[in-house]
Amino acid sequence: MNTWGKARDDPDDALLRQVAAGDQAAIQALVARKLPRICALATRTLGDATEAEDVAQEAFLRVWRYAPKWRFGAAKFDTWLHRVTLNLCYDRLRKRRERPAAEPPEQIDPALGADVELEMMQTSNQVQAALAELPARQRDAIVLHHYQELSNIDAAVVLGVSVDALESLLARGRRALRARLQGLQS
Amino acid sequence: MTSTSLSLERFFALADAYGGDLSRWPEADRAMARDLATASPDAQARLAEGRALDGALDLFQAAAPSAALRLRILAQAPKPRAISARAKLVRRLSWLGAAGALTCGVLAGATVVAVSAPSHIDADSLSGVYDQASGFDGAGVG
Repeated sequence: MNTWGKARDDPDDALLRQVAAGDQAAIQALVARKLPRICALATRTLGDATEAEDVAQEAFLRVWRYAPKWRFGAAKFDTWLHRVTLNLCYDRLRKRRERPAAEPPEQIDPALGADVELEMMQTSNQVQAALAELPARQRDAIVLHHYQELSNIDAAVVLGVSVDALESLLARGRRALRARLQGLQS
Repeated sequence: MTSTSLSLERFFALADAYGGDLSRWPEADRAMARDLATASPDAQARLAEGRALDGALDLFQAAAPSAALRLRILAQAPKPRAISARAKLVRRLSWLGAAGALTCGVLAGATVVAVSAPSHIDADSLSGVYDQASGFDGAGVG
């Protein structure tokens, strides 16, 4: 196995070749395919949608820069893109720690929507908070496996750990979440 | 994995790590896990626990990326490749070649006409040449 996962039969290969040639339709297709995933990864890692958008933009800048130089067959594009995005998130998390205490988290404005919507936002925030309290590696393992739906092998590659280590991170993370989210499990 | 069965202990470990949806388990373990889940109430209970947590995790919705972000990203994307300088030169030369050939053809034709034409052409003979060339025989013209 190479550094960034099994690149054989990479489903993104054909599209990436067209992107490298400057094909505008392919560029739009790649953004449509990857942007929601990358934004979701950054949002769940950072817990901040605005910062997540900045990270997604930076990640795509790297895609545009590296697409013409991409070594096809040497790496799996999606795995590489996840790694790039996570690294950009880590940079921001590091800067946050170095900065003095940030503003308090935004409060939900009850005027924004109906009761059901408000309740959904509150439960979403509850899960987000529980996830944010996990040790970083456990959170990342759960985000990559559960939300990004990466295979155990690809998630392990992104995190740079063995599959056994990934399994341990997932089990510990899920155990902690089970305790914190007791009320939400039906 | 080469074994053909899964211990209950290993099943629990996998459920704790990968949750209640067998399609998210490692591919090599799925068939054996399905068999065990069918046969063992304990395995089923563990999967149900996993599904409950999966459901709770799914409540954390990440907002879809904004249209503005999409536009910003597309604006930074590589532009279609411009025609290379070499291709431009080849294109210019081919146009010049075509124009040159046309000019030569016209000059050569004029020379032939000048050499072979009679020294004086009266209006009637010129009219006949024109009619022949245009396929017009004058029929129906009155």
